[in-house]
Amino acid sequence: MSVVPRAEILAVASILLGAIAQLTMKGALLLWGAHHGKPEFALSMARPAAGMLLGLLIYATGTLFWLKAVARASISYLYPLSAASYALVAVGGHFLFRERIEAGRWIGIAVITLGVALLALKNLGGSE
Amino acid sequence: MTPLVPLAGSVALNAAAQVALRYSTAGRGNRPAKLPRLWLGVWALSFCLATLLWLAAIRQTDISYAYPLLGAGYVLVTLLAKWFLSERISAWRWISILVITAGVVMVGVNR
Repeated sequence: MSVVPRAEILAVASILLGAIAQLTMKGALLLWGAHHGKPEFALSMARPAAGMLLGLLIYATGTLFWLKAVARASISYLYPLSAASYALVAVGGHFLFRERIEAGRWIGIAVITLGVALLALKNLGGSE
Repeated sequence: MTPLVPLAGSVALNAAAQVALRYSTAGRGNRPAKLPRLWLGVWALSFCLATLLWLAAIRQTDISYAYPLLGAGYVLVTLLAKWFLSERISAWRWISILVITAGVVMVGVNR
């Protein structure tokens, strides 16, 4: 049984964290928008602000993983892989924030996923 | 100046940043970079600048224009990697990258 190449694991971690960061920051912005203009605004600013900070921290962590991944595989391989985050953020937004996604966009997401799969599957024999 | 100019600039800077990062960490071909920390700095600076440019310009742009630019970024990184890092890009890799680009454009157009 072969070991999964480490570059892919690091890249997947980075991409996942990046998507989570974006969703976290989006959630924080939505929370901020919900409270804005209300009398309790000042007090309830804490949670959206904390959410944004958390999102940035998650993003920074994801970037660290990215640095490690890029040291281990071609950038023309890794960078297009990161397009998977479009699919992840879209799906996350749909389930977390009830964002409506019509058919055309779903098809686009499917095409991105197909492209990422094509790219990854051909390269799993070794990371170059 | 239409907001598409800074957006395109952002995409180009980001692509350059990624290539600089790869060069910093792994050099070109068999040869490591002579000043890896310099190139890491180039990456960090370019990345921050690209992000600021994007955030500043995206509000004034129809997002269905922004996504094709992002899609073009994948092709640009591949070309820069080929030219400056001597990376070998197989036909299969090109095809998958073009499929990804098409998908990103589709997502942008369908908003």
